[in-house]
Amino acid sequence: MIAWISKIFKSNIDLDEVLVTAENFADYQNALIHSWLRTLFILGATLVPVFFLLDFITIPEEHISLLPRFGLYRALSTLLIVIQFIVITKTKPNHFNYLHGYLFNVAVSLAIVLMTVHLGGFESSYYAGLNLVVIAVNLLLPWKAIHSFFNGFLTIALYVGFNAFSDQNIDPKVLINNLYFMSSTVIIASSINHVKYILIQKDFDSRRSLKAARDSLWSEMEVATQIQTALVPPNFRNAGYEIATKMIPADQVGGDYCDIIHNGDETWVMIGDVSGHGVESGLIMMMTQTSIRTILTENPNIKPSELLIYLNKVIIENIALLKVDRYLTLTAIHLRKDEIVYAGSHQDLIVKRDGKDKLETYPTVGTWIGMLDDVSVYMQDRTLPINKGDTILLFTDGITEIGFGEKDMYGQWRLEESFIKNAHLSLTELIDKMIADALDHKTVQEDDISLLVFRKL
Amino acid sequence: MSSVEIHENGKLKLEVRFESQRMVVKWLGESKDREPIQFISPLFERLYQRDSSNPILLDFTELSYLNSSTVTPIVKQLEKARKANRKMEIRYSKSLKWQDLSFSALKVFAIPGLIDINGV
Repeated sequence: MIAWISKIFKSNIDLDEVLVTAENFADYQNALIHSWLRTLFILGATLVPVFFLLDFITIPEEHISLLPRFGLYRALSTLLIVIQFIVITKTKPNHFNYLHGYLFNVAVSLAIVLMTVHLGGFESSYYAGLNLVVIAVNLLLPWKAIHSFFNGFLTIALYVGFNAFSDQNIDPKVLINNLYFMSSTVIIASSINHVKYILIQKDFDSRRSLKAARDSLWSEMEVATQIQTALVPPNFRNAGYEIATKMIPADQVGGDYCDIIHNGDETWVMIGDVSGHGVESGLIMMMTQTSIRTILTENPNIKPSELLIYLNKVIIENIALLKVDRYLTLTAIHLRKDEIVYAGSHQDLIVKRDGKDKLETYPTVGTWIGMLDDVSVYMQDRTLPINKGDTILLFTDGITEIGFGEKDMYGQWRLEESFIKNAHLSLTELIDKMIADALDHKTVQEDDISLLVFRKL
Repeated sequence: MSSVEIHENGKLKLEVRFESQRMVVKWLGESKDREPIQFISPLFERLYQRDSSNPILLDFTELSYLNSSTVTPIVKQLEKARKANRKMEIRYSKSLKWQDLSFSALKVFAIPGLIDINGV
């Protein structure tokens, strides 16, 4: 039974969504009227029956027999309100919603007017209830003041009309007194509604401006993310090496950087991560990419340590100009014929030697880019012999830190397990499998995920 | 006799102990905030007001996680200590991979006897 009642009264319309997505003020106003009508109906369906208690307490002895009739008026009025509530709950906002306000007003006012007729016409103090109806309807519904005006005087017309034709003595002074108060109530309610209507219009304009600004910002963020992904190079293969890479950006613009640069006979790979998130980090990543490519175009045989020393000079100046606190971890690797030469502090290099079951891990040394003016004393080159079939894995912490905070971080050891298990696959398949394994662990990705693998041919 | 203060920001907890000869700031929990500098820098300003001269030990050995954005305010404290000629030690756990990776890169700021960065 409760479930059935709940189903009847449950709205299947997401009004918040309608309010947010309304394209013009008319739609927005319809949604507001639709929303606030529900409040009005709940208020009416509660107060109209509750006021029967007042009838019971205040009704004069000679009119006590009228109580069942008053109860009936209130019951019919309440029933109509409940029906209106259900209709509103089950329908979408539209241009005719305001008619429910008129109907509610007539239903409740008529019940009160009929009671005043039975209780002595204009002499009855029950007309005060009509003022409450005028205030409730017109202050709750965000419609134009003209509706408040017509609605209010419709109530007065019902009051005057029914009582004037009820064959009762009319005291002009009492009538003027009552009409004075009721008319004043209508005028005050209409005035307040007018001011409120203007405020709602301004609120709508502000919302639209805010939404436009937000949409514009998100568009720019999407462009920034697209640029970040677009800068990831395509897979590469030459006589010496096969290289594959993949980046999966997080929701926000991140700062992962991985690159494959081939210039003449020289091949380089880069992997790094700018601290923090957002456009600033993305911008520094792009500056890094451009600077590295420029330096390597001029001097493809530069030592990795020297490359990073030059890069640091450029980046630290730009970071200062941007007035941001960012730095980046970065390892630059020069792929030579039978060896790789690398420099710069980032994550470990993980090596799977051809035909071996165990991995070798090589910590990267040096320091980060963008923290010190001169990093020349900290950058040193290291050389690692590479043989045919050896596969090297580079990664950013976005993959190893998946699931962090749930006491079960994916971790480097799981990445290494996945690497060794799938090392027999093609590089593209290997990367896809390692990412799939990581995302199987926990699907929530908080940071960019970047993997770069290369294999000696 | 030393007094202890606890300062928290999300999952990051800083336990500050004012000893007679030094100030110990023990980092606990996780620092995952996007802008941790907004919590860390003003906090250290207040701590320096309370103790402006004793050596400072920043103990990270029991910290579970620290994101890249948190390194910046730590570097700022190192720079501040160097400029004020105030002794500061960063102590981290070498057995934790991420700590070793993060703090060994900060060794560029070390000045033996003044700014020490030690893995234990």
